[in-house]
Amino acid sequence: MVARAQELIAYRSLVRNLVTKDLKVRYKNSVLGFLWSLLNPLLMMLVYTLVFTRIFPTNVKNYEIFVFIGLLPWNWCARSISSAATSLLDNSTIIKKVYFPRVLLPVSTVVSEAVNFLLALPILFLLMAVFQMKFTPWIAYLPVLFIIQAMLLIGLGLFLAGLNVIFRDIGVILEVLVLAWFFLTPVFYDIQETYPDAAAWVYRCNPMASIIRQYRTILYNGSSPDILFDLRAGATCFAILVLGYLFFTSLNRRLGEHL
Amino acid sequence: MSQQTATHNPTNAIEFDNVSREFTINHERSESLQDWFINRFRRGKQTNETFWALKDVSFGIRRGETVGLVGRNGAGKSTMLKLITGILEPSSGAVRAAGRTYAMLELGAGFHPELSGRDNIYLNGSIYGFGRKAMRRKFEDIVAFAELERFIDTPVKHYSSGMFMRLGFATAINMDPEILVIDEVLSVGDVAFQRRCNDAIRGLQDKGVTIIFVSHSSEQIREFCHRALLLSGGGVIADGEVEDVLTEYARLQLREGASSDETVRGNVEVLPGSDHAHAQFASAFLRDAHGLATQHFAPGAPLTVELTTIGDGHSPLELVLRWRTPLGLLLFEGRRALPPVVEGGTRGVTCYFPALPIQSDDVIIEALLFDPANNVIIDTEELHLHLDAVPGPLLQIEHSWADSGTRQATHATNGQAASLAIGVGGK
Repeated sequence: MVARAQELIAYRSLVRNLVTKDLKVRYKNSVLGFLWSLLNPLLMMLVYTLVFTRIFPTNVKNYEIFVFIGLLPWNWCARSISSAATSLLDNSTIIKKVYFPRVLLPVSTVVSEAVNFLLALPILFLLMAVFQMKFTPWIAYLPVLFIIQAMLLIGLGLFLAGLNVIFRDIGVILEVLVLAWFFLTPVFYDIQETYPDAAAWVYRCNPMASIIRQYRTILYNGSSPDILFDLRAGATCFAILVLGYLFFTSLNRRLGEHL
Repeated sequence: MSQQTATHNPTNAIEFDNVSREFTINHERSESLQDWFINRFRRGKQTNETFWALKDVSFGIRRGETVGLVGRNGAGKSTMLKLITGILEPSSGAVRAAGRTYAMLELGAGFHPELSGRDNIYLNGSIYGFGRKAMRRKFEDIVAFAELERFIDTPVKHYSSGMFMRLGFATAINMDPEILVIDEVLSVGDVAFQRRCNDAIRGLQDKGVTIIFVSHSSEQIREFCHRALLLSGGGVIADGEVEDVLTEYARLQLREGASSDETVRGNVEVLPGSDHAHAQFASAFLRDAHGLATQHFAPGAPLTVELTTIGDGHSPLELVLRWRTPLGLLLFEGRRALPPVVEGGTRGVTCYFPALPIQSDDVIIEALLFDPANNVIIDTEELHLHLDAVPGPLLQIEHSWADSGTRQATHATNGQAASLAIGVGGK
């Protein structure tokens, strides 16, 4: 176990290089380059705002900010999961030719989406200033939520990456599942308003719902986070991380042969 | 890792202790969920068969030794290399590789086409666990060896395959391996590049690097290796002096070759960036004086090599025909340009030899499809010609004798012997 951990530390520059590779390759052939990662959630926000103020009006105040705070962590989640799921297949040539800790492939996809998430935060703060929202010191609590979400995504990423090697059709199902998950997660609606009765259950079963709720608590409401709630969410996400890692390592010895 | 410390020998860089590796042959690979569910309900009918790629293999390789690994395709060579490098784990037994292991299984395997040469060097370094600082020191050496100073910030997708291979090789040898695994990669590239590679390998040998060397070329094995292992059917059947093992290998090839008419495919891989993924040999035959396909010939008999290639509609290719002895000695090489053929279209080519000059040994006839523009071998075929050998020297070379006159020794006073000149008239 200690040896494993040491190995991962020795390979930390691989994570960095994989992440830079991801980002460089993604923005290489587009004119606006990295601006896209900022424009994308902004444009999405405009679409949702248009739909939910004109077509299905909602009572949520400052809906732009409300939906933007939901979209940023959701995008991090959805993109991490779909790219982590294919990370082993995409890199099968290296896996079959070189030994290195394969865990780092799905991990690095989550990390590079995390970089995009962090780069979009200044835009969020700018928007909040434009809408004259109040900034509270609870913003300093963001790293806690960030770590909870990172644990969840890495855990899921490891699980799906491993599963995708055995069952190649995970990719197809995943698209639908992520869409369903998106609708079941209060990203563009407020669960307290639409289904207040179900809210408790949604938070219990859907870690992303809890995480997004907490982002909104500290940024949108500007109020103190519910520490107990976060402890529970954190424990769930940590369990998912450990299970994902165990599942991945149990498959590890078969990877060279299945790919 | 290794539990069996009884056989542990500290002078060994690599140790295999009763290593076996099993693979499951999925008759229907259960790669989709549907198959998986169906298979749950068909428990009675077990469709998975297992096959042992390596069975109970034990050996040790000393530090600084260069060992050649020979054997036919499917003998277990690749599995052994992957076990040494840690890409695969053994099903049972223990593999111990002491030291930083670098596998040259494919040059530039980890390169990303969109990234520049510089970024790829750093990325590749980190795949082998080198941090930024360590790589910065190696960077200059790598670029200088690859001679890519001007193009180092160009995305590698714009590199020619020669540049790509140079970068791959330069990166590989600069990773300070303690154990280096080389699979067939030295047989690509032009002569100048090969010479540079060979020099670099010798440099590593001088530094005491342990090298495991897989090659289909006996010449290369002879040139580099201190020792050779012959693999067959998942076991080591010969281990020792290079010459002895190669002779054993040649015997094995003859025994197995005689019992089957198969043409053995080489395993030169298609390089990324090459357009000829589909150009290949469709068939290869040896025909006798009557036009019958056979593998048995008499010395002096006429021979026709008949090859059919499938085109890919791209640039022209070159066909290279080589004769080798079973020990790998190159006897003959002929080349012919092949004009482009439409994709999927075929082209037949025959090469006629009026009289077989060999009289005492079999011949392995190798056909290569070569892309001269990119310097890449696209496909290979190997045919075994079994000779009804007669004892004596290897070759019967057409020749004629002539007397060029005689002279008597007339000047007894200075006692010189008569000089006799023999003219050898070759045609």
